[in-house]
Amino acid sequence: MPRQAMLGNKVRRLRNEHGLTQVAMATQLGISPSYLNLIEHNQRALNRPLLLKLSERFQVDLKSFSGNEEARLLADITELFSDPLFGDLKLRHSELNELVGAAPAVCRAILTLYRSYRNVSEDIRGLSEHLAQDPYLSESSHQLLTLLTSIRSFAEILHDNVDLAADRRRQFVGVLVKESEKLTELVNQLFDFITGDGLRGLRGTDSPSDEVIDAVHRANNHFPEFEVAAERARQEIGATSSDTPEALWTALAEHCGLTVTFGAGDNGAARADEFDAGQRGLRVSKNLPAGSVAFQVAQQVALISMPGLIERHMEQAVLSTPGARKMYRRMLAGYFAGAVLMPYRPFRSAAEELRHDIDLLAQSFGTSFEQVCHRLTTLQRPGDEGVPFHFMRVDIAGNISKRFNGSGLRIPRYGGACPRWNVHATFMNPGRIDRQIARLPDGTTYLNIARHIAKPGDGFGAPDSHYAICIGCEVSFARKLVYADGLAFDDAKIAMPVGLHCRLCERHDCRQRAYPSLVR
Amino acid sequence: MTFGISRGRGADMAFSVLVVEDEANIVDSLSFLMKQAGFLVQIARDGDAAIRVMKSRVPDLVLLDVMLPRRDGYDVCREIRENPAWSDVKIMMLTAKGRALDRHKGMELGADDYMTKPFSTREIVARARQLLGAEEQ
Repeated sequence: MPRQAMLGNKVRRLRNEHGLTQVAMATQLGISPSYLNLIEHNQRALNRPLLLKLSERFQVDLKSFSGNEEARLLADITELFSDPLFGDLKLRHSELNELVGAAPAVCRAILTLYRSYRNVSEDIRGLSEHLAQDPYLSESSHQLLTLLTSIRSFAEILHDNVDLAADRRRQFVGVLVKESEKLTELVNQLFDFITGDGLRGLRGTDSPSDEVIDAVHRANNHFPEFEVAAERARQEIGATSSDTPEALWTALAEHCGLTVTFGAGDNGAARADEFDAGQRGLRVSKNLPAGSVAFQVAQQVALISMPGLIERHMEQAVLSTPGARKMYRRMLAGYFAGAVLMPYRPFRSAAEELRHDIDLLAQSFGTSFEQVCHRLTTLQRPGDEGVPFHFMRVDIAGNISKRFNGSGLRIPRYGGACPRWNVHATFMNPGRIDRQIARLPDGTTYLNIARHIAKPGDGFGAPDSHYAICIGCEVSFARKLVYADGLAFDDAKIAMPVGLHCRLCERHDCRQRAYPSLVR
Repeated sequence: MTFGISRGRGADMAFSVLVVEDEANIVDSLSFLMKQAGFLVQIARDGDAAIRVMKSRVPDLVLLDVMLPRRDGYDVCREIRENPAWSDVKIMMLTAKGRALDRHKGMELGADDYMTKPFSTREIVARARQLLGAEEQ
């Protein structure tokens, strides 16, 4: 009996703490010294009357003699020693039993050490995965090997060929000098990478997209100067509310001297490069709907015609990496494009009037479902605010590529969101709008609207991209949304219990749990 | 030290080697070494060029770098092995150190030997001779 076995040790420890001999303690307990000796060696059980007497005479907490804690400790320590780390150590169960009984504090210390060893091992695994995939390190190691190969070759040639012609010798020594200079430069860069910004990712700092998302949140996703610029642009081209997206982009392009050409099989990456170059020629895919062409044209117009405004906003945003700056620039140009296609006042009125019916808004303004969702999150002009929305875009593998939490919903930064959110399930119903009343553990409730969208590849064999979009608001705004119709918000039973992320979620009984919770 | 190699039938029957490598300095050192060892040396800077050279003159040995622009060394290796006219050509892959997978892949595709960078110049010449069953003059 493991619990009894450990109790014998406990009694002995208690006796030693009180500085008593077996005889002295046995006398106090009214038993024979030989019987106490048997108890201490776990040959006799510690019965209940004796336990009571012990606690009375020596002021010990009865609970500490229940053996529960020791049993837990024994289970933990048994598991620890079954780690392959200990190889063929083959500790007997009785040995572990004795160890736990004789030195529980030492066992706890071993467990602490073991846990931190496990954590460190996991960290190292994560780090090495990160390092192995780092494109800079892999390219640098290739360059290092190339330089070393030529240095070694020429050094050996010079060494093995003492009678080499003078001009040849000069040529080879010249290569050696040049290649070692390059090697020095490369090694310096590598050191900078390791000690400087290169390993930021390893230290858990933000990725470029995180930096951009944070900057957008600081601005509450509302950029008044770009709203003004968009209104001015519409005036300058004489845009009216009845203009089709095609009329709009034609006039915009003409106004800014931008040439738009159409091609087949253009992929998104090529288009992205053209944006960043700020060129006056824009090539778009024939595959794109007019609204998306108009969006791209307007985005390019922003890059060409308002570099000063963009630059000023970039400075205010304080972005640390070139990657983040590039993304932020495109985001600002995209904001302008959204505001040109869906001007603030008319869009805001239409949203109220159509009760935020996203498909109807998309039809009215000739834009896409995703563009309308984006625009809805930006309607935060002070004094003329729209419904505060949260928004996220998730890919089919669960990666969150866009997030904005205007409604107050905390969307996790790392790892996937709660699997109970309807944004994930919507992949099972392509093209259909899914509504969900989602209740968080703290009781706050949101209305979530989710829909799957596919972005087709260019031609046969080119891969499609699949995303799920989720837009939502706190339940008190839900009545302003057509999607709330027919939903019984007062019925607690129909609200889906959700969390933010498994590790932060206290719904311990959730059957969809992917990770253990860190919340007790 | 000079040592030429041949098929044992005089210098006019020297072995030929095609060096496929994009790094200029490595090309220079390899072609110096191979010429010094008595090989006739041809050079190709990328995978496409390697196949073009092969078509105009079939070498006895190809020293083939794995990481090449446009078409990598594996692809070139595969194409050489798919052509029955080139079945006698020996292929030695030049791979990066510590990439066991690369070596394995090259041998699977029909390479005869491999050297890891940074390689020893003495060893590369010795292994080339060994592959061709060549005699030292």
